Amino acid sequence: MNLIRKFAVGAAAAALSITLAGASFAADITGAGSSFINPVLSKWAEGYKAATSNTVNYQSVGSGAGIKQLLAKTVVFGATDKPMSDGDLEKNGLAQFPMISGGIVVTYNIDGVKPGELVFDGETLSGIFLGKITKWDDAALKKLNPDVKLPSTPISVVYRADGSGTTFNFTNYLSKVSPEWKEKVGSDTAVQWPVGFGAKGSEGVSTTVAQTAGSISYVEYSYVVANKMGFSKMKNAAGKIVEPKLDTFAAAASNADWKGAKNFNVMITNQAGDNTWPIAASTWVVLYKQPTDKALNQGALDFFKWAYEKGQKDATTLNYVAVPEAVAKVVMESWNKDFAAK
Amino acid sequence: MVDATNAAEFSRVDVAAITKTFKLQDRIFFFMTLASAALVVLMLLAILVVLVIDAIPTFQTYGLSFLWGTVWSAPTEKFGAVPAVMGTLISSLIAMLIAVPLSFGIAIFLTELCPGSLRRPIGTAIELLAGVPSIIYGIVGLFVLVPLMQLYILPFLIATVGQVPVIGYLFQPPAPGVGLLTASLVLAIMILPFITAITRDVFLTVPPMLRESAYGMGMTTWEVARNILIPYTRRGLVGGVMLGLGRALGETMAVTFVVGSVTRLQASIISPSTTISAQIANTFGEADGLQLSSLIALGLLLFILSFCVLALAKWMIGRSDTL
Amino acid sequence: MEDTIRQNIMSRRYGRNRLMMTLSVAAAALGMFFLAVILGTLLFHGVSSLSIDVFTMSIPAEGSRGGLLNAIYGSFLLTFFAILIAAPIGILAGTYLVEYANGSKLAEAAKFINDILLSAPSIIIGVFVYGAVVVPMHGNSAIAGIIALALIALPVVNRTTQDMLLLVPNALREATAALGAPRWKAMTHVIYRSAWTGILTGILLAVARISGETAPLLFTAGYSKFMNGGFTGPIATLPVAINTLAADPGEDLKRLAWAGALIITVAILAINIVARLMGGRRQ
Repeated sequence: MNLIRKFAVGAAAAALSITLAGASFAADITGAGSSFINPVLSKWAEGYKAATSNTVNYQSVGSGAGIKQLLAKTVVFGATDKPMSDGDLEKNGLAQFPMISGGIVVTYNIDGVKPGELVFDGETLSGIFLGKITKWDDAALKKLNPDVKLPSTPISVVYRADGSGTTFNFTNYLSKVSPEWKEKVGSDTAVQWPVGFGAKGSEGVSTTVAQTAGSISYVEYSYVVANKMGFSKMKNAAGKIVEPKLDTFAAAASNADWKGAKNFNVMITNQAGDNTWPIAASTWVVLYKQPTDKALNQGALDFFKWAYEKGQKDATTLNYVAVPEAVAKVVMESWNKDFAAK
Repeated sequence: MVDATNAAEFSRVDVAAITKTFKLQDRIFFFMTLASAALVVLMLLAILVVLVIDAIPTFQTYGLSFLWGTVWSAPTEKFGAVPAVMGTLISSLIAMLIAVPLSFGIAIFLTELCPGSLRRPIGTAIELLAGVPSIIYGIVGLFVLVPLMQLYILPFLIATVGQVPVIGYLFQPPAPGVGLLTASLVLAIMILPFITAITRDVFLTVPPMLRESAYGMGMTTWEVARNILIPYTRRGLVGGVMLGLGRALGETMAVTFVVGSVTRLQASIISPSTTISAQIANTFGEADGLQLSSLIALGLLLFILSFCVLALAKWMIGRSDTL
Repeated sequence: MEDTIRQNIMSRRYGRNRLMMTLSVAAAALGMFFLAVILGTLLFHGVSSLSIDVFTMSIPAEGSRGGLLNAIYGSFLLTFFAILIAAPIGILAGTYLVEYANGSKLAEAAKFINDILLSAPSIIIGVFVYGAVVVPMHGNSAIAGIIALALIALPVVNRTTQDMLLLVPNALREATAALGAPRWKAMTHVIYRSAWTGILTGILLAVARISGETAPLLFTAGYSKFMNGGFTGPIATLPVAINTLAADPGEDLKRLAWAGALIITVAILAINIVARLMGGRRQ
C-alpha cells in the first residue's frame, strides 16, 4: 500500500508540475495553408520569434486544407495560392491580401539530364500532363531540346494529391496555353488528372520525383533548390526561353495591378514580357474581419507587418518576390478599414 | 484472537458498525469496477454511433450504391467505396499469402529444429520485430524497398509475368515503385512476427506425448508437423491467421508511405493505388462536407470488416493467452 | 523388389523432409534478415543524425538548426496522461470481469467487446476522437491526443489484468475471505500484490504500444514546430514528427526524421525488453 501511495503522490506531483509549466506558455498565433509560402513563412516565424518572442505556428497543409481550417476557426489565418472569390470573402466576413510571389517550376528526374538543361513550352507540358506524350524521347520534346540526350524512358507524371494552390496556378497556366486542357481538365486546387499519381504536399512531390526515375512534376522553385532537383527552362508567351530566377519571377509579378484589383485578386500566370517566367504565382493571407479572438488577430497582423517591413531579405534569399513597398502600404492601410479597431 | 484476557475490550468494539462500513467500502469498490467495465463497452458503442452518424450524409447521397461505386474523385465530388476497399482486400490477401507460410516455417523451426540455446534469443528477436512501430516499417519501406522495387523487381516482373496472358494484366506499368504489391510486401513483414508468435504458442500446446510417439514411429520432422502439429492445432492456427488478417486490414502507417495515393480503379497491382486506411490518412485533414463523410463511411466499413474477421478469429481460437 | 520400393519411399520421405526443413530454416533466416535490415537502416541513418541539438532544440524551419525536443516532450506528455487515465480504469475493469462477474453472459460479452476494441484499427479511433473531441473543441489539442491514446491503451491493460487475475489461485481468494477484512482491501492487499508484476508488465506493454502510434494522433493532437506546454492547441509527438519530416525534401529535416525514428524504436524496444524481463517466467 505504501508503494501505491508513493506512486500516486509522485504521479500527482508530476502532473501538477507539467500542467503548471504548460499554463505559462502563451497562446500561439496559428495559421495553415499553402505549401508554396511555407519555406519563407517558416523563416519569418523564426525571425519573428527571435525578435519578439511571439510564436507563429504555421502548418503547411495545402491551400485547400488551410482555408477549410480557417472556416472551421481552428486557425487564426489561412494562406492560399488560389485567391478567394469576392463572394466567398463577403459571405464569410474575410479579408485577403498578398504576401509574396514566386515561381512554379517543372521538375524532372531523368537519367543523364542535368538540372536546367531541359526546355518546355505550354504545348509540350500540356501534352505530357494530358497523357499524349508518354516517353521522354518524343519528337516534340526532341524538337525543343535538340542538344539534349533524351532516353526512351516512360514519363511518370506526379501531381499534388492534396488540395493545392500550386496545382491551381499550374493548371491555370495549362488552361491558358491549351484549350484542350481547359476543356478536359480545367483549373482548380484539385483536378481529375488524366494520368499519373499523387503525392502529398510539395514536400511529398519533391521527394517522390527525387526517388522516381523518369518522373515529372510541378513544384515551387524553393523546393527544387532545397532538394537539388532537376528543373526546366520555359518558353514564355513572348516565345523567349527563360530560366527560373528571381528576376524572371519579378518580371511576372511586375505586371500585376495589385491596387486596382478588388480584394487584391490578380493572377500572374502566362504574363507578357520577354523576361517573364510563365508559371508564376502569389500567395494571399486570409483573416476574419471580425474575429472571435481580437488579440490573436491583431497578433497575426503585427506579424505580417513585421514580414512586410523586415522580411524582404529572407524572401529574396529563398527566391521569392516580396510584395512591393507601395503595395504593402496600401495593404496595411486597408487593414484599418477591414479589421476591427486595434 | 478473542480470549479471556481481552474479551471485555472486544465487546466494546461495535461489530455491526464495522460490518456496515466494510459493506459500504465494498459497495463503492464494486461500483467503481462495474463502471470501468461498462465504460469499455460504452466506448465501443460510442465509436460505432459517431461513425454511423458522420457517415449518414454519404448514404443519404448515394444510398447503398456507395458500396459498389467505382469512382472516387474529390474534384468532381463523386465517391464510391470500391477502389479503397479493393486496395485493402488485395494488399491484405497478398500479405497473408506471403506471411502465413513464412510464419509457419519459422514456428516449425522454433519448436522442432532450433537448438535449445538459440530458441530464446530468436524467439525474442521475432517478438521485438513485432514491437517496432508501424511508421518505422513505413519509412524503411519508402527509402529501402521502393527504390529496389522500381529499379529492379518491378521491371523484372513486367518483363516476365507481365507477358503471360491473363495474369499479365495484373503486372502492367506504370510502376514507379509505390503500389499495392510494395504495400503488400511491407504488410507481410509487419504481420510476420505477429502470426509467428501465435503459431509457435499454439504448437507448444501439443502434448509432448503425441509428438514423442510420432517421432518414435519413425516419422520425419516434416511429417510430424504436417500430420500432428497442424491438424491438432488447426483451430488455433486459423484463429491466429485471422488475427493477422485483422491486423493487416487496419494497418495504416506502414501502407500509407508506399501505396501511392491514386483512387483510380485499375487491374495492375504494381501501380500506385490506395487502401481504406491510407485514403483516410492522406486526405482526412483537408476533407469536408461529402468527402469527409465518405471517408468516415470508409472507416465504418473498415471497422465492420475487421470486427467480422476478429469475431471469426475469437470463435476459432477460444479464450487463450496468446491473444 | 520390396526393398527397392521401400528404399524409394524412404528416400522420398527423407528428401521431402530435408526440403521442408531447409525451407523452414530459410524462413527463420529471412525473418532475422528483415529484422537486421530494419534495425540496420535505422542505425545507419539515425546514428549519424544524432546530436545534442536533437535533444535540446525544437523542430526548425528548412535550413535552420534544430532538434526534436518539442516532439519528445509531446510524446512524454501524451503517453503519461493517457496511461494515467487508462491504467486505473483498465485494472478496475479487468477486476470486475474476473472477480465479480466471471462466467456470466454479460461478462463474456464485455470481454469480447474489449478484445474488439483491442484490435480495432487505430486510425478509426483517431477518426472517432476527431468527431467527438476535436470538432467541438474547434481544433487539435493534446487533450484529444491523450483521449485517443487512452482508448488504445485501455483494452490492453484490461486484457492483461484479466489474464493475470485468472492466474491467481482460488485458494488465495478463499483465504482472504476468511480474514474478515472488507473485500476490496483483500483484493488490493493480497490479490493485486500477487498479480502485480503481470499487471505492471501489461501497463508497460501498453506504454510501448501507444508511444509508437501515429495514425490516431494525425488529426487529434496534430503537429507543431514549437513547444506547447498546455493541453489545448496542437502538439507534436515523435511519430507524427517522423511522419511529417520524412516527407520533406530538405536533407536536414529528413535526417531529423531518421534520428526520431531511431530514438522511438530504441525507447520502445527497451520498454519491451524490460517488460519481458519482468514477465519472465511466463514463457
